[in-house]
Amino acid sequence: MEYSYLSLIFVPIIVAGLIYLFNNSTFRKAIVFLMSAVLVVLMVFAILQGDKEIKLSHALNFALEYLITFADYFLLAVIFLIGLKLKNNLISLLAALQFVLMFVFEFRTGKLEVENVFYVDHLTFIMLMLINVIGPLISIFALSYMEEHEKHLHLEKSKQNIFFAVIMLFLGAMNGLVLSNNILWVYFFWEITTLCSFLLISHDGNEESIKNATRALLLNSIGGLSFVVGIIFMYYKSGAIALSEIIRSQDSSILMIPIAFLALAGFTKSAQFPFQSWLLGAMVAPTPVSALLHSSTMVKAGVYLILRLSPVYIDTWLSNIIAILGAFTFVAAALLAIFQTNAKRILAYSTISNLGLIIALSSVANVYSIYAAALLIILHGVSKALLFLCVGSIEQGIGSRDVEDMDGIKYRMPIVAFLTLLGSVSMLLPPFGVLITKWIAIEVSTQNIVAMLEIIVGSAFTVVFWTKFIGKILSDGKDTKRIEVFEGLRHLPLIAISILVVLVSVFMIQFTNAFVVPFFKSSFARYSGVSSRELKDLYIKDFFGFNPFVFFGILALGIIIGVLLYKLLSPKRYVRVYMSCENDDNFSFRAEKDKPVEFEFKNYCFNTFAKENNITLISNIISVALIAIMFGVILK
Amino acid sequence: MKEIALVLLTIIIAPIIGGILTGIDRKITARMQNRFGPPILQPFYDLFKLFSKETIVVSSTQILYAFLFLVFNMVALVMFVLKMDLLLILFILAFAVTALILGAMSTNSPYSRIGAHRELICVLAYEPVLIAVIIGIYFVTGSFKINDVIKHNNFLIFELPFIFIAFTYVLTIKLRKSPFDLSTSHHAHQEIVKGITTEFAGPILGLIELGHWYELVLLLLFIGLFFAKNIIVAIIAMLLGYFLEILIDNISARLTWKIMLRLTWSIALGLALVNLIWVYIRYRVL
Repeated sequence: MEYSYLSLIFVPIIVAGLIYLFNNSTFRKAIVFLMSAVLVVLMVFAILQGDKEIKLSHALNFALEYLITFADYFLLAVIFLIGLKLKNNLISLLAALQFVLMFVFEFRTGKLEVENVFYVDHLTFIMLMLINVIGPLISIFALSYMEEHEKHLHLEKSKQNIFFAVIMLFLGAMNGLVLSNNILWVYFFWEITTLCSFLLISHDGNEESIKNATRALLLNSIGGLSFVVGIIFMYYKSGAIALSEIIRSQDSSILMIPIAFLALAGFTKSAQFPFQSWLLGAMVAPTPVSALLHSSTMVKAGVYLILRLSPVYIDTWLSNIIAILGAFTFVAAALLAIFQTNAKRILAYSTISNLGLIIALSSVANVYSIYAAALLIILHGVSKALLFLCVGSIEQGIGSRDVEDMDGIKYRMPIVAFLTLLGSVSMLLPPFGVLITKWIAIEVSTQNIVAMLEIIVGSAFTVVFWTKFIGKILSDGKDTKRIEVFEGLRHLPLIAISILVVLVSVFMIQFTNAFVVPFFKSSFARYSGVSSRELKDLYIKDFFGFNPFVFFGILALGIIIGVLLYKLLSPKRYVRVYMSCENDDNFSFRAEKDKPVEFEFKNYCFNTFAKENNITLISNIISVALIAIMFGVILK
Repeated sequence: MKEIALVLLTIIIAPIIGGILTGIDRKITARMQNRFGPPILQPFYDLFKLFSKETIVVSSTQILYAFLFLVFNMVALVMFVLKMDLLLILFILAFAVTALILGAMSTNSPYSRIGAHRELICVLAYEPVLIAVIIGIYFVTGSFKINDVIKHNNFLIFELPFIFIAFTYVLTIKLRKSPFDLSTSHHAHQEIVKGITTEFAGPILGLIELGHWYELVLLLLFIGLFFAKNIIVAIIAMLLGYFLEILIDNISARLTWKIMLRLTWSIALGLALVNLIWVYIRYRVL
């Protein structure tokens, strides 16, 4: 059975090699489908095993230990060389520093063995579900997307083999990251995701994508260095390098310094301010990459680490500051999202904002906030995967990713428009879960007044930019000719994800009881008498009186009444819009000699009110200051 | 059983109160402007007339949004009467506005789209203040549930005076009264025609009008929350608050959205913050 965990990591990596070697479209499709099925089966099998700490046979453990140690140095060397090739000395320097620190550390401490190689609990399950369900669905979508994408690029030789190989490697690394118990292994997989994201962002190979990929690599290398420093401090402070030991550690105060460094690493990976720019730059990559980075991989690794370590630092000064930092990203990213017209950038800022909320929730000492943090990882993952893939489809359909060009998209691409609507509504309105997590965030953060103020302001910003976005998707446009044809390979993954979006929200309570509560019980044993309480006592019936069944019931009822009412009030007559009677149709005024003059109406972007760059600058300064405060408090 | 009766009663009585208040508003406004003014029941005549008209639309989805606006307002009010969670009520109220904005944005009309965006700016202005108001109430009473809030043994106004001022400030925006009647107005002096409701007509406009009445009653009940210890004081406060809004409406001219945003974010939010910090220190730190 330990082989199921091993295969979750190594099957995708082996498949990656195969895809790379055989650059053949049919083979690729077959193997992606096959691997998706295998991953799902393995994941279900792993979950059925329950919470576990797994030992491997001595020989296997020994072999893996060496494999990963050497692979780690190899990886750092690769990043060093990439830095040289890009002529970016800083990247090389950071990679070299990590290399040297790691080497000296491992040389001095000798053999660092962790007996239980895999630490599998319910948080791991949550992450596994996200990675192994959403990840493959995105890869299947990418099969059709990339064909179209390469048609636009007019490549002589397809580069899809590299693309899919990196995606598979990415999925394997993510599985490794969430399964490993040894923090050195976590670090190794962490670095693989950094490298994979670099390769994926730079995939198109043009100047812009390489520039943005370089930035991603640079910022994530800072995170990598912070991770190494965190590990070293961790070892010298507590002698522990196994996550399971760290979480159970009784004396959290000596662990504050390593945790702060690891949290900083989490911030970089989750693109928190001031590291947000790499995720925005990542938007130049093909859309499946954005979907993957934003939903089930990369950025979720950062919040995973912070939520994983949360039992150690919660209810301390550090947790207060991390909550303020997370909440600050929540408000700043939501504010910046209002200024955007590029749909992918709106989604990117919304992701950053939500990750901030997850971090804030992970750091508030309250049962419900931990529940909400774990829930939001899933809720956000499914909704954002759907939204990115939809926007990618729209972009290929109408040739633009600008929201202003999406007038009338509901006529032109009805299926995708409807799914986009579902995705964005699920991020904003009840009865979908994201709203509930925001609500919980406000109710529980009352003990941290700064974080709370940030969240209430951010909450208002969220309403504004989502309403603008939804309004555009629902608006009428001049062009109403349908251009969308149903395409199985493209639309079925989208429909599958949208079903997941609804299911996750409907069964939110059951999901919490099945996965989040056991995680809370096992990890937060140290905290506020959780260990003495039965699992059953921790179960929830509803969130402060919010029961999704009731609300979805009301929604269904509302739809029925709405339809009836529509029949009753059904429009007798369609008229033109009112423009002081100076129009012949809905899209133009009558000017002199009754010549029609078309008008255009764009969303307000508040550019006259404040400058986006200034806000970014101020936000960056504030977040740097907050990080400085974090270290100032910890390093007495 | 009692609750169902209460819900039904609310749904029936609230629009009657809302309509009468609107009628009084028009009467008072007329007197302030040296006019005689329509009869107090005029809003009802208007509403019945709207419902008797032909349903004409620009886009067929508009009906849905108007309906949603009404329903969300109704649900929010019912939740208030059932003494549920204040924060949730506020969220529901925000969705009512969202529905209206989406309705206005669904057509290609420049007037209604400008109105929609101005309404969005209004949301941006008042939403944080409203949440801050509720957090303030939470700090004092220790609960988000209205049920516990009204059991508080003192007038909330004594502990939340600044927050109350901030609330009445944003109430002007929420009721779409001058100087903040940016998105739409009951009077015919809009440079954007009727703003957010330009493209709604007949029975559909009737639904929105009805929604406004529920909204009005709910917002006045929020004023009452600050005086909940004594029901008579609360009613007087609500009426006085409403009169104050009418007065402000008649003595001020419309401001631009930038000024509104700056003023609300500095004055109203500032006042709310000051008050929040002091109740936080008094109830949490000391």
